[in-house]
Amino acid sequence: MNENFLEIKNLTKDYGNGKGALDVNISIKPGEIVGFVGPNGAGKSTTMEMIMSLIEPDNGTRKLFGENIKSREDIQKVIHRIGYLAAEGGLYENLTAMQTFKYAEQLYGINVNGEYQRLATELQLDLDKKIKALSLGNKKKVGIIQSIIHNPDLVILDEPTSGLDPLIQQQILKIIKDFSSKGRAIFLSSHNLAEVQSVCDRVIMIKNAKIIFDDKTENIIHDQGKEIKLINPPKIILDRIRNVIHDDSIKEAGNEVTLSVKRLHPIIKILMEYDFEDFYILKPSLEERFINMY
Amino acid sequence: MKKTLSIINFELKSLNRFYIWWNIAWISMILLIVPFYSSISEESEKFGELYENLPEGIRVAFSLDANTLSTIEGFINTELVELLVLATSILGLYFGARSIQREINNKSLLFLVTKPVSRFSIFFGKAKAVLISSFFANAVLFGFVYFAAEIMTTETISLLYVVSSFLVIMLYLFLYYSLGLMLGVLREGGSALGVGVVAVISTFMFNIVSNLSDKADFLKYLTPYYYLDLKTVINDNVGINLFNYFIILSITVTFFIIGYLIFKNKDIDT
Repeated sequence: MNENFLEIKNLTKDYGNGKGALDVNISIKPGEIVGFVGPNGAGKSTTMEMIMSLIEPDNGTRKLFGENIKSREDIQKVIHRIGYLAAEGGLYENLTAMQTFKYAEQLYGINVNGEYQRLATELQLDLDKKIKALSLGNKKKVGIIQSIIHNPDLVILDEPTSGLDPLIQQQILKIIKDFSSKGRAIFLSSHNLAEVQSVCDRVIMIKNAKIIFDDKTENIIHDQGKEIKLINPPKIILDRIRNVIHDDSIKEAGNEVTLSVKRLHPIIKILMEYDFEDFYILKPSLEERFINMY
Repeated sequence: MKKTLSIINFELKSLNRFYIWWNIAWISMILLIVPFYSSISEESEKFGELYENLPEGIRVAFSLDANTLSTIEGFINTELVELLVLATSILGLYFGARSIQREINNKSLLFLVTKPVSRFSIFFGKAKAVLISSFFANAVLFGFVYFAAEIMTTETISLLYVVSSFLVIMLYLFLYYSLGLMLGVLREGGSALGVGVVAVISTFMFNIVSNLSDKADFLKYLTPYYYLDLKTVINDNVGINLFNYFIILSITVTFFIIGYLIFKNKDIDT
């Protein structure tokens, strides 16, 4: 039961000039939500498309639910256990949302008895509108629902919330969280690091076609240290702080001074000594951790 | 099997909508043309004199033979079926080219290729839908031709001619459909339709040019319009040689196989 749903080793698709995906290693366990981040063109979609056998890798191995995927025919053995949302497209514009779900039902050979109607109501989606008449946000909703309609064990979502307003982003993230709580694994790519931080157990970063980072979200945030922002601190306090931390960890901007520290205690002690209260501690975020890597 | 049926059903919906309008257009044309048969056949001698004044090359190239107007089969062939052959060839090409290439370009094919259906089912499911839809649409059309000729003229149209025309139209449709499919999966992001239309016009012109001089006679072997020539049925009242059907079917099957092998191994990315 603890067998990885997904295991790819040295998966490579080389388009040249650092494009594609080179020697990518990823494994995903049941119940995990894994975020896949990286700049545009870094190789996120290429990796996901290789997992789905939409494009065939030049090298490397793929295992899905223990099955070796050596060719497009092999993925047919397990594809009913996978849901996929493409970054764009993937829907027939002349069908209504309802017809799309019914068509998906037929192709999966299932009858979910209107489960998609419940999801559509939850997401405030008009089932009778043609896809071409829907907004980008509503198209994404249709895409998400069709990707989970068959209760897959692994859902691969390529930028499920890109280009959406915050309200719809939240609705979609809620659907993803609810779905994962049933023990399914989710592998989602995103540019929105706050979103990845809020839903993902693990984060993988890819840059220039290579994985440069793969760790649990909590570890990343913990390792990152903390930030303290001081508002208009007296010079004497700053001089004391400079004795405790390195100058590189102190950033001054206008009347604000930001301190990056591993431990809070020595700084707080100094501030208390001078009875200085105009400061606040910033919650660490993935964005701050990764922004320099982008 | 059920999944392939779902693909066929899905394709049939849009094909049937198209074929309703297609048949309405052609049936309207039949209703306009057939009533003129009696008067034109009576005047066929005058047409003969008119044609005699034209250069021989033009007469041969465009099959301007007054004798063909004196029989109902010849009349229907000249005024309707020859045009239908060209239109059907382009239609087949259009169906083939838009079927997979358009779905790759607009990324809607991702819906199918990420579901538990093989590429074989997708490729041939679409082809089966075209076969079914075209079969019934053309059966209705040629049924109408038969009854229109029976009711609106005093002559009995040869059933052999009607059935042969139906078969020839179906074969042209599928020949160019398979060509369109093959070009569609072969040409990355390009216009298979444009290339295909050039192929249709070229092969049609080969047939005309091959009639103009002995030196160009060899061109007739390069065009399907030579192998499936309905004039044999009209003039000799015998069916088209089975070997000729076989040649066109073989080319069609070859295009299908090549198209499928390319599609099977094609990367479909976003």
